[in-house]
Formats: sequence, structure tokens, C-alpha cells
Amino acid sequence: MMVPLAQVQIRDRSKLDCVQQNGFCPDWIRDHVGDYLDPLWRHLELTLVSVALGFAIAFWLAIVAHRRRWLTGPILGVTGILYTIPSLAAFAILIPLTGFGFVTAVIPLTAYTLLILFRNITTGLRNVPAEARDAARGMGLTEQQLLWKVELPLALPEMFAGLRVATTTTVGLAALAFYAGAGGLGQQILTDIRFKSNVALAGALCVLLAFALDVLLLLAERMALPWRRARA
Amino acid sequence: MALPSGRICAMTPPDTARSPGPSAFPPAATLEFRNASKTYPGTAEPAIRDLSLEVPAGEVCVLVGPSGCGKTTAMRLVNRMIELSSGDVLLDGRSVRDEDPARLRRRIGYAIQQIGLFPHQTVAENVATVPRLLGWERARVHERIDQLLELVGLEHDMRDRYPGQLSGGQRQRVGVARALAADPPLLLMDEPFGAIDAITRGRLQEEFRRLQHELGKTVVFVTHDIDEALKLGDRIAVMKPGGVLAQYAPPEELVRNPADAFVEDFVGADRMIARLEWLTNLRAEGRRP
Repeated sequence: MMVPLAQVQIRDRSKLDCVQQNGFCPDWIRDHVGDYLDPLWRHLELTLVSVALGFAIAFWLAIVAHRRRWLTGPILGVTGILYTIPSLAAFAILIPLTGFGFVTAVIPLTAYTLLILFRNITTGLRNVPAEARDAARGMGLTEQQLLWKVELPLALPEMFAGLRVATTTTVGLAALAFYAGAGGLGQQILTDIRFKSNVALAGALCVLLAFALDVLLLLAERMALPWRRARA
Repeated sequence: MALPSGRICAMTPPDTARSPGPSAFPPAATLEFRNASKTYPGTAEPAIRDLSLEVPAGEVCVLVGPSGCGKTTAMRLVNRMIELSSGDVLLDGRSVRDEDPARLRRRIGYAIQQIGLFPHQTVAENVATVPRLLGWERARVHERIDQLLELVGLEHDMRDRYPGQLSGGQRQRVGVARALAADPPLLLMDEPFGAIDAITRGRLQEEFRRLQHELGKTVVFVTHDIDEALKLGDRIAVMKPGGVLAQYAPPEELVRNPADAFVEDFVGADRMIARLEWLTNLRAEGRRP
């Protein structure tokens, strides 16, 4: 950009030209994909840690609310409020407390997954057919056995649905994690936001990551739920 | 086929985990309602009012009556799915109140109209529910499943199907097999053939009679259909709205000597409708090529 115009015009109209003009350059992308693997890996880390933590918390909350129905409303309220906090504000509040880095990014990302995960797990538990529950109790399953052997397995379809939505949205939200100093593909976009090749490559990797995780979850779902495929 | 549920086991305690045969339970239990009452919280009128009746071991007692007469409530008092308000229910002379509900239920077979098969489990896994709860060994459970599927007339290759892949009649059979799995001395059945087409129901009723002849369990069978009651019951308890027992008698006596106008009407009116149905079925069959 600092190069005088005359010099640019002397050069051949090849890839350098494209890069200089911040264009979309397939050759440049091919040569530089390797540089994006670290941010991609970081992005994946942020997503997996946030969704896993979020699932653990939401699962526990859902089981508590399953036993004490009246807690469902308040939990939905709180997770709903958490969901509406803008991520930039959350980072700004957290940086003085947890510093600049991974943890500060993971806290809000985890919080954002809670609403959808909690809602889906409770819905799943609630959709368990009443007659299956009645039969289970009538045959002598304890409340604990009923939960782990009947209710939770039958809630798996909704749980997977929740996990898929939560994972996809977290991949998107993690693109802002660089504000908290956690890196990721968002950081990569910001390093040269005017360079179309850079933005396109980092953006495409985001989309591919979300897509790949979704496919993996879909496969896991199909493996975990043989009874859903088996229909007469 | 005969099940080795012999009376030799009758004296052993109900610890099936270590017993060699299909069951360490006695083959059949006596059941007694003694002034049993149930009033649901927040209601003034009791659902069951001072119910007393005795079911001798090995007999089928059918609870019959119009909807809202408390027949299902009465049945559910036995395995404490509903807790008594007053009075008692005795199983082989022992109050059901003295036992932990989960333990009690594992030695009482339970089959309901909606069947309640676990959709995420195969037929074999469904049938194995109670034996597994009782801690039976793997090989024994496996053997028992084969035995039961044969008993209720299901092909061996049904083992690994899921409930979603079965017809209504097949599901019902699996439900009965599951209720019989641990060879319980008492069986509770709440309209087990209710949600099934008339032809399959007839066949299942026949099979139930054959099974009962073979197994000799004590059975409490709930139905709203007096014809089913007359067909299957050794004794029939006719219940009136308000949870009152109107008459408790063998089928012939019920038809010949109804205790009051309610019983006479209930037995009579329903029989007319059943006869009409029977006629209609006959005509429909006659029309077929």
C-alpha cells in the first residue's frame, strides 16, 4: 500500500497484484491455509470447552428442575437474561476479574449455551411418554433408575437437537472471543480485515468448522439412537 | 410348555438373585382388600369406599364397572402406585404397607392398557426389565426371554426389534411377557387388551385363558367390558360409581343372581351391545369372499 503507484503498474498482473489490491486470491489462499490452522484449532477449543461446560451445567440444572418443577421458570428466566447480555459487554466486565485470555472468553460463551441446552433437556424429559414412566414405576424401578434408565435415554433426541444448535451458535460467537484476548478465527479476520482473501479464508473455516461439528453430532446421534431409525 | 415354577420354591424367601429356577417367588399369592379406602387429597368423596374382598391364590379377579368407579384405583392400591387412605391390602397375609414400594412392585407383574413399553429398548431388553432389577445372571435372563417370547407366541427374531416396529397385538404380547418376566405370584392388568381391535382382542383373551391355565397366577384384571369380565374372571367384582363394591361373585352367579338393579342393568345392558357387535362381526365375516 505504501508502494508508489508507478511501481505497481510495472509488475505483471499476477497474484501479487491481487494481494496488493486486497482481492480474493485463490493462489494466495492455497499457500497460506497452513497459517490458519492454529487459530482454527483455538476456535475449536473455545467451542468445545464452552459447549461441554454449558452442557454439564444445563444437565445438572435440568435434573434439579425435573425434581422441583417450580424451579424451571426461574432457571429459564436467569439463563434467558444471560443470553441477552452482549458478548462485548460481558468481556469488558470480565477482563478486570479474570484477565485477558481463554477463561474470559469461555465464561460468556458457556453462559450463552445454557438457555437452549436447559430448555431442550427439560423438554426431552417432559416428553417421555407418561405410560412408559408409569410402567417403569409399576415394575419397581426407583426414581433414580427411572431417571437414568428410562427418562434420560428417551430425552436424548432433544438433547442432541439442543447440542447441535448450541454448537453452531458457539462457533459463530467464538469469532468475537479475540476481544477477550482468546484468539480464534475472529482474531485472524481482524488482523487484516480489508484483505478479502484473509476474510474469506477465515470466514470459510468458521463455516466449515460449524458444519463439521454438526455432522459429527448428527452421526453421534444416529449411533446413540438406533431405536429412532428403526420404524416399521 | 410347562414352566418349572413348581411349589418346591414356595418356601424360599423372595430373593430371586440367587435362586436357580425362573423364580423364587411362590407360584401364586392370596390377595385381600380389608376395608380399603382411598380419598384423593382435595376431594370430599372417596374414590374407593371401604372395599373388602379376597382373591384366592391362582384365581383371576376381574374388577369391572363404568368409568370413574374406582376400579383402576383399587388395582393400583395393591402395588402402592396409589397409597391407601385407610384399611389395608394384604398379600399372602402381609400388609403391602410394610414393604418398600419398589421391592414390592418387583414381585407383582404389571401390565397397563397403554402398555408403556420403553421405546428405546429392544423387545428383549423390555422383557428383561424386572429380572435385571432383581440381579439375575445374564445367561438366566437370556434363557428366560426366549421362554417368555415362546409363551406369548412371539417369533424368536422379534427379540431385537424395537417397540416402534411392532403391531399393536405384538406390543401387547411383549407387555404381557414383560409382566410375567420374573414369574411373579400376582399379576395386575389394567385393561391390557383395551386399545386393540376386536379380532386381535378376542385372540389375546383366548391366549390369556390358556396362559392362566398353564401358569395359575393370581390375577387382578381391570376392564370396563362386562363380556371380557365374564369370559376371563373366576370371580368378578362389579364396582359402582363412588368406589363401592356392588357385587363380588363368580360369573354364573353374577348373571343369575345380580345383587341389585345396578348390577343387573350393567350386566344386561352391556351384554346386549356385545351381542349386537358379535352379530355385526358375523355379518361382516359372512360377506367376505
